Amino acid sequence: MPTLNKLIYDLIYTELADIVGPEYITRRRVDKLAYAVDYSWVSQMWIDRGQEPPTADFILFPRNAQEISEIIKVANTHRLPVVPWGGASGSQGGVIPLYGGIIIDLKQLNRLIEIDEESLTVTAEAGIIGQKLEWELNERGLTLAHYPASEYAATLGGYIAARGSGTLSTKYGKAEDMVMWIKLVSPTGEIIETLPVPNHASGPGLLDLFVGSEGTLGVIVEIKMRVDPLPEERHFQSFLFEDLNKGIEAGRRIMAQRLNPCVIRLYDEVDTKKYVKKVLNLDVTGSYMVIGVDGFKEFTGVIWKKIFEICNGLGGQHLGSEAGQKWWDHRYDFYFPPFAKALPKLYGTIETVTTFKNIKPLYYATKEIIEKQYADYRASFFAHFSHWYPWGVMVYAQFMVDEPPQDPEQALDLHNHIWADVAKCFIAHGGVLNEHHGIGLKLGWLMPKQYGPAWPKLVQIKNALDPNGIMNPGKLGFGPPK
Amino acid sequence: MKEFERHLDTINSCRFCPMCRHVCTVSESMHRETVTPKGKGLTLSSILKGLQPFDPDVAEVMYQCALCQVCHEWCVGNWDITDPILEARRKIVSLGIEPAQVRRIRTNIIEEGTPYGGKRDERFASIGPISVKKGASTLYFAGCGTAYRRPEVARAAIAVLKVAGIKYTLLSDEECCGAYLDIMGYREDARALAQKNVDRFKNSGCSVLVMGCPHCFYTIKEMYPQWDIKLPEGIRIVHMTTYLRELVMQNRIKLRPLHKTATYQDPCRLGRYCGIYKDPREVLVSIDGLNLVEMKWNREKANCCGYGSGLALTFPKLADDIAKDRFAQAKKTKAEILVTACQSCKSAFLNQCSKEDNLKIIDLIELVAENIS
Repeated sequence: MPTLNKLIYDLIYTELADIVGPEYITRRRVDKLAYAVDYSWVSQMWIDRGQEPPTADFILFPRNAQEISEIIKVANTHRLPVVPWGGASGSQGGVIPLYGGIIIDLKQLNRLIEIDEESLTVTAEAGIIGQKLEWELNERGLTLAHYPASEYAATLGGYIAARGSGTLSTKYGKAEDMVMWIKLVSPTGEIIETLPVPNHASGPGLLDLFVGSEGTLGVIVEIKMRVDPLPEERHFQSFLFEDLNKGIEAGRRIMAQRLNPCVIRLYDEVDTKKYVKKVLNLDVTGSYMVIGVDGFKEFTGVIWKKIFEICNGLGGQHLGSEAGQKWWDHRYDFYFPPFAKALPKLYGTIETVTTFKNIKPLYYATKEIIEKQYADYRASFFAHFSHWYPWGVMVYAQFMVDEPPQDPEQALDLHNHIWADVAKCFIAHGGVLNEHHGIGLKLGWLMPKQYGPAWPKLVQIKNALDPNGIMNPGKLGFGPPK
Repeated sequence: MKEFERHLDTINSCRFCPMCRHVCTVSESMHRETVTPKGKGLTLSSILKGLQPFDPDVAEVMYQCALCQVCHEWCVGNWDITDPILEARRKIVSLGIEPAQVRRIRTNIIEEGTPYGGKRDERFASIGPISVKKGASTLYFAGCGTAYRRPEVARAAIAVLKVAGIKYTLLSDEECCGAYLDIMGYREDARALAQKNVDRFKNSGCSVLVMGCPHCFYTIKEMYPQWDIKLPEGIRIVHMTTYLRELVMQNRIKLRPLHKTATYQDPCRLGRYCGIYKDPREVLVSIDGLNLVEMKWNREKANCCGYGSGLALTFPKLADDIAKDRFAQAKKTKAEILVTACQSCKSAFLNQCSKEDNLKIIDLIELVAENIS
């Protein structure tokens, strides 16, 4: 891509300001730095070590799809990268402006357009913050039932663009299961919509193409989501299993019997010690599991009976409802400093999903990689299993190096090596690069390995939709702008 | 940058944490990263790391905060970004790069004793004749916002004091408490003013200092000692809401029934800063027939009106945008009366209210004055 000289830089500024108005564009240094960091370790480490981060040339705050369309046309004219920006709560560096260009902050598009109480749907603009939308729905006795840890910061558009999961996804599904329709500004500036409903026999699912596209195939501007009635009751119980394997088996049986819990959250032995003790103040060893069930009281009683039979049958010690409720009430506490993982440590969430058949080999192989290959760095490994499917489960594994190299390049190198080794292990064991954090810049280079011979087909689609490669370049493995 | 050392833990905690974005008064109006608590923490961190200088753009960002502390209330880690922000403002002032509107506030206070731009000798002009007496037990400190912007609140306060049979006085030479000087980064100027005020309080001979402005109340009661300004011994400093509650409970004033629905706006400085939530509510529910309905966010988590901490003077459009959102919450309650206990909140809501809203906006002291029997 061309380097912007001062003259062309000023001319493009004028052109963009003409679209949104001078109040809705900035090129101040202070703003560029604020838009250089998301929730990814890399972007934060870079600032922490005083390194100059990649920054955008312009940050825009459009108020409607038409303005976005015009911005994108200008970006195509000048071959400028465009990065859609929501809540910047992603951990994969998905919004870092690697090649400069334009950041489009979508949070001005925050209107709740319609709640259809008959069909149980909500339509809103992409920039609305998840928690704000949830509060609005709650006032009508409804819920999006999407409770990611990023709920306070992430936008609805981000939920969809990154295929997010919430803590109750085991029953209510991931964001991709809830989305019904989107309006999108394409990489060449057309404003397009998907079919009005997601289930049809009218050809391939255009909706599915854009869900999870992380800003590389356009800018999602409006979304219709399925919503649910707030349940009559929601209760949590917790159990302690002798070891992780027993816990996994309990979860598998619950899912195999289609008992539809809203949450199963199983901590491995290390995580049980590390976090359950620290934050919940519970003095336990073994493998700790929180289970939640919600719905009508008449139904939940029957479900609990079955769940207790399964857990008791596997030697699970019932720890009562208080601890489970406490987890739910404090479910986001882990993400506030000082409870959250933070610099100067080196850390990462290496999460994936696979079938029940593959999950244990995958888990133990990953654990071995971290604990043996990186023993010199005293890397620790801990995990919980928090999103369950009828066919398998997601493992939310984390590594931590308490004293990483101080040199930013060495630290980054170590970080990237750990990720690479783990990602290859996932692929080898029938897992995927990621269940819900997305790919971003962190895992992009592994996409061809994951997709194999299918990868060029995805690249062809990208090239067809975005001939100049301007949309969020360097993410999802699609490479730099053309 | 030694002055930031004591703020490092807070800056480092906020700089990458987005967990209060959804409640931040300013960012929920501007919808921009830079003005969130995270953005401000990141900006300060970038400065300390040598990535960003203190410049006029940073200055603007640091003044785009209502200091309402709602972020602190929501923070599980109990971090308070307002302290580093105030430190940054002092640094900005020391570098002489504060925004022009901020400098104007200081000039107004130094020259005329008020941030609002009125004349010193016209301070009480809209209130009417005031009583300045030696030997009074109670000193009523009107405050700049009331004197220059909402004189009806001061008139109501004086009327209630009279009916209650309180021997009261005002300061003939009353001037700013210094809150806005400190908030804007002029700590030394604020201290000088504080010392003058304390001397006036001492000379008044009063044993009770009562005021309706939460900014004045918090500044005099809590900040003066922090600035090493010794408060005069034997003077009780009390906010009007607490004072009214006592007058009601002691039957020194009796209130007529009022068959209306009211909602109450917790002023940030009175609520989150001073922890006064019960007193105004107890006065309201003591009125026979009055139905108090709460807004969705109230008490500790009440949203800011936007006009506090000088934001209405430094960024008036932003302040009005914030007020609009909070006023919408008040309307959602379907109350007939919106009561507050801060003249700034009252101004904020009056500027949003139209006839069609059918919502009466009133300070608690006015409501009491209107319904006193």
